Amino acid sequence: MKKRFLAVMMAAAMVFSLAACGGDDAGDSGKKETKPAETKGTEAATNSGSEESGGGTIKLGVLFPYTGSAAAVAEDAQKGIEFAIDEINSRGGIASMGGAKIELIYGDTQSNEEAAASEAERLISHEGVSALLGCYQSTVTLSVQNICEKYHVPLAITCSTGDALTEGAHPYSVTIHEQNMDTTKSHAQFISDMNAKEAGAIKTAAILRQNDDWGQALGDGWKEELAALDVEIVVDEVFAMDVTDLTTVVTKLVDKKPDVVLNACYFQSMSLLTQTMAGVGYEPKAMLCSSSGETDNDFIPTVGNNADGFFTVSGWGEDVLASMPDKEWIGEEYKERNNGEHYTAESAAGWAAAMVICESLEAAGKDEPEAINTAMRALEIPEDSWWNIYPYPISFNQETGKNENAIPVMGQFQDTKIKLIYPESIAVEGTELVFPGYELSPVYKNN
Amino acid sequence: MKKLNRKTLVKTAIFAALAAALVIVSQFLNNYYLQIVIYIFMFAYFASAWNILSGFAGQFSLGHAIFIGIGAYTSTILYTQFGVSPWIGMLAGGVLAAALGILIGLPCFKLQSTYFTLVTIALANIMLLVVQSVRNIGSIQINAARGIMIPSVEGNHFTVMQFVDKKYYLYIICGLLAVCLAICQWIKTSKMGYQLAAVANNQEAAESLCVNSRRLKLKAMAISAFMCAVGGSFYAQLIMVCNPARLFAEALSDKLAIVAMLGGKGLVFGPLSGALIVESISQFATAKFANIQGLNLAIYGIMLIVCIRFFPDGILPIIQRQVGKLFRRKKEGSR
Repeated sequence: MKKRFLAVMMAAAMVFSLAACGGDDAGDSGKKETKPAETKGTEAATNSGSEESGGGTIKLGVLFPYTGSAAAVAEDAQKGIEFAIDEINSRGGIASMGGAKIELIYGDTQSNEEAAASEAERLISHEGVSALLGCYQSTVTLSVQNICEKYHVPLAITCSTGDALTEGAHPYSVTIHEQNMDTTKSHAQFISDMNAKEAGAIKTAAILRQNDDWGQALGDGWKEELAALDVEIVVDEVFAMDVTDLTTVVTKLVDKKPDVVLNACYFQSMSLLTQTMAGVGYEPKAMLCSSSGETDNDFIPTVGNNADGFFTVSGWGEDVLASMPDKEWIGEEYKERNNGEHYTAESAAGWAAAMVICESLEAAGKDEPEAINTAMRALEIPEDSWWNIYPYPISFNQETGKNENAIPVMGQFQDTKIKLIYPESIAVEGTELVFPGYELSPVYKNN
Repeated sequence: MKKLNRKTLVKTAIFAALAAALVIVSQFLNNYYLQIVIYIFMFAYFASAWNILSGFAGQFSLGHAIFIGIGAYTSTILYTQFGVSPWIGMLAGGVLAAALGILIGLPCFKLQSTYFTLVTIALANIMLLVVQSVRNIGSIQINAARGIMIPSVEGNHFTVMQFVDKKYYLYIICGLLAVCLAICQWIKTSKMGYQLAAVANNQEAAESLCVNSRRLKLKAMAISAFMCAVGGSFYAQLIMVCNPARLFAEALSDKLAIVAMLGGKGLVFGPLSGALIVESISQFATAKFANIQGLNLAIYGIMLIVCIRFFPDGILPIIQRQVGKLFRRKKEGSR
């Protein structure tokens, strides 16, 4: 009985200590409570705006899946965001607000809509953030987008590429990098270019995708584009996110020998697919990936040079900086901050989203969400802006919030590094596209 | 008779006081805290519905997310594609889920204990894969893995169950929970409840006393599925998106079982106690340790281990025993 009593006390102590922690926060930020725009938006906005003008701190909410299989991606994006905010703060903060510094408040979406909605509510109503950044998985971002529209709080969508996020009117969110539609178009352009160089080089294709909204959106887009290009789909496979064996899928590939394999895989399945293909000694002419598992920091250490020859359509790649000599310091500093880790597409997306919010704060001159949103939608960031690491300018469609200038860049794994090869303007001197890609594969070299 | 009236009066007064307290408290909570309270009551509701089949009837299901998903999808499809109010969709989803529950129960109740549980897990996984793969059934759009978005309506609208002010969601879920608890109480104290308890304890013995166990379990399944589906419609209206990966997920089914078992499986107020503990810990851990990878779930896990290790029958029986002891001591003291 004593043990049970102790256990009850222990459980209660933990609950109350957690509750007490929550209480402290309320004390700190309770005065800056925000209410839904429908009911008391203006009142809340005025309060928060007047408080922060003339120095002080501006709170920004960061929502990512910090737990679960997508946590590694979230970590990369967070590092990019923190890097950007540290850079702005060290440069004197937001000048138009008397040097106000930015503070980040985090929320864990746990990769589910319910937790994401709850965390968005917390960050807005309880913490009083002026804007949000996030949230990786598109369906999760959709639920946060809904909350932001309800509260009239701006959301800089980061690492989510679902087309639904920019379909129809979205007055309180913007996308900075490419969306799924841009990725499938880029893949189609690549196939078309290869066929133009060598007639009939790509006649057949395989589609491999994860069974989620992202995979489905890409699958639909590929089918549409391949039909227009008159490329026959000989393998069409869908698998679960936590798949543990892809032997059957790879056996089908070996049997049908498609010229191109289009895939939408997260880290786990991408590594599994690469290793299984290497195991059976197979690589297609072009393995076209979609900026996910293959861009993860752990991918190369896991598969080594087995991915050499693969192509990836990515929102960004480290080589982009090589074509921008005045911005190379960004990559170097990032590596220095993060023990030599690669600056991934997710880190770049985090950096850019945070910078867009900072530019909006600078333009608005106050941290009132409505004013930040208005300033954000009016932004015109040129390609040569000191922080713009994308090879295109940033501006937003007034209705959808999409950056219409965003084009995905294409890279190829060469000697365990992603070398950017497309568009040609960003290709580093001496880097050449190798087609068929299997010529770089260790399987081909060994034979 | 006099005693009964007095008891009823006291109970009514307690419930009226609780309702009044809820209305008053909801005026002072911001939307974040309201959201937490809504989730607590919502999971208390789901776990109570689960408890009818798995607690009272002893048929341990780990696939109840099927019914939540069906409720969510039915009301969402009816609303987004046919303009039918989610309130009506809620009932339609409930009826559909009850019918499916009976269909599942007819062959599956021949199985006992672990085998039934394994079948429910398999069925939930099959359902998830089917919904993630089917784009449309005739002219009805399911959208496969992409799910269905519920278009948001500005302001507070009762007919489409969409509110900017969270307290209205709180009132709805409290109403649903009150109805669910009343049904549970009725089942528990009725002939059906005693028969279910007998079946749960020893099916052969119950059958030898002319209890039609299969029919009883089907009844419990239908009620449990109906209630879960009604809650599922509410859930969809709350998060405004039907994502199959969440609504039909094994994790959701598991959570109902965890909540009910931690509170006290087979007890009317057990799931409510469990939801209070599980959701409070989960929400506070998430809020406090969001950016430290996995720490919130680790804390949540530790709490679950502590509870399971030391209170295998749930927290509520311990609280009840302690309160009972306290009253006995007081009585003895006053003698």
